[in-house]
Amino acid sequence: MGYYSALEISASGLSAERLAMDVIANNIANANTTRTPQGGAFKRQLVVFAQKPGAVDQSGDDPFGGSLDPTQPVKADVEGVQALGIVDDPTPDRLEFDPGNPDADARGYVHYPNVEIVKEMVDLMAASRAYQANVAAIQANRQMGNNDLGLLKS
Amino acid sequence: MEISNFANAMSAVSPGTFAPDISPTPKAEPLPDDGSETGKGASGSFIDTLKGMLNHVNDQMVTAEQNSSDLALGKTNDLEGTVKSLEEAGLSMQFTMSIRNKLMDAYTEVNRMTF
Amino acid sequence: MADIAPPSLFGPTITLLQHAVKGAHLEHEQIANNLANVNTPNFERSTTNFKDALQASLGIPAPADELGLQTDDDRQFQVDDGSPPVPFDPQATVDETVQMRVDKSNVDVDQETTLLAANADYQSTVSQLVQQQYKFLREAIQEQTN
Repeated sequence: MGYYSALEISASGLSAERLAMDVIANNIANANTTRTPQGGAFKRQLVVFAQKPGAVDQSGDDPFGGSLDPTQPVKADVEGVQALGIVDDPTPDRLEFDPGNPDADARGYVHYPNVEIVKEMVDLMAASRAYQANVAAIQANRQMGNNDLGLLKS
Repeated sequence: MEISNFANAMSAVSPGTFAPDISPTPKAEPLPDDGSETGKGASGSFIDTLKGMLNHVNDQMVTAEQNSSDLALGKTNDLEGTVKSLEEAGLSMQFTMSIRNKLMDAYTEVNRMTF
Repeated sequence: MADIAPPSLFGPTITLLQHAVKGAHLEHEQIANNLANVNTPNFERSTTNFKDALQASLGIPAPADELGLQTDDDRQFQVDDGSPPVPFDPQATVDETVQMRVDKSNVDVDQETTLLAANADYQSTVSQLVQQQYKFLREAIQEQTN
């Protein structure tokens, strides 16, 4: 664990939350988009987060690192968070009956995106709060680093 | 004595809450017998005082270390008490150091005398 | 002939305080990781218990009362004899408490942020205590007061 590892962990959190905010902003902007290049209405997108796996020692006779032993507390490998990808939300489109609309299908329903503005706003607040929490972690890290350097002063 | 009369007059005038005790100053006590630095002086009380001082500083240092240790372990949340004990230990140490330096200077000065 | 460790300037207190600074750094890494993963589903937060490791590094003294168990033989067990000092080595452990969040993550962003602030304060305090100890040593060595 180097000196900057905590900084990298918090930085990974920042980029992950920023990506989430971009995706949410895209969802909100396309909330009423009925036509996309792929055909059909816009599909709401989500980011999939996962913990970045730390460097696990695969050598030796115990590659699982004792994690199968129920009496030992599980050791943690910390490397931060990663965004595994952006996936489409599989919930069905919102349908509105409007036969006069040029995008209406055979039955007269128009497919609108499955984006709910309220839910997107709540997700945006959660991502923003997580972003601020990671900023606080970086500031605390800097302050602790300054304290350590202060030990050199007489 | 005019002074005690004056004080009595003052207390007569005021509601009697302040009546200073103007007794004649006690005769100054003789200084403790200043034995030589090797402690072979007549009474040796100087060396005892010095030892007492060193023990006191040591006790304060030990207390300060114990308080720091307890704070680090989370056994106490008394930050002000710990800082106070650290300051006291530091100041006592500096005071003792100054006295020690002065003693050393005095000793070397006496040593340099060549009559 | 047994290996005799060279005498060290640094007594148990200053070593303990240095370990405490290190422990606070490791704890900060765990908290930073918890915060980075606050929106990760199925995530389990982790923590170190470095204060317990600090206490273990001092050893736990045996109780000082005279009502200890009298034993005649080495093979008989002692009751609560205390334990010898253990080298300071805190491990990060996963906190497996279950929380009723929809995405099954047990990170509470408010609790983590509070722990972050408390840990930073602790590190600040302990590093100043270390600095004070260094100052005492320096004054004694240099035979000078500042």
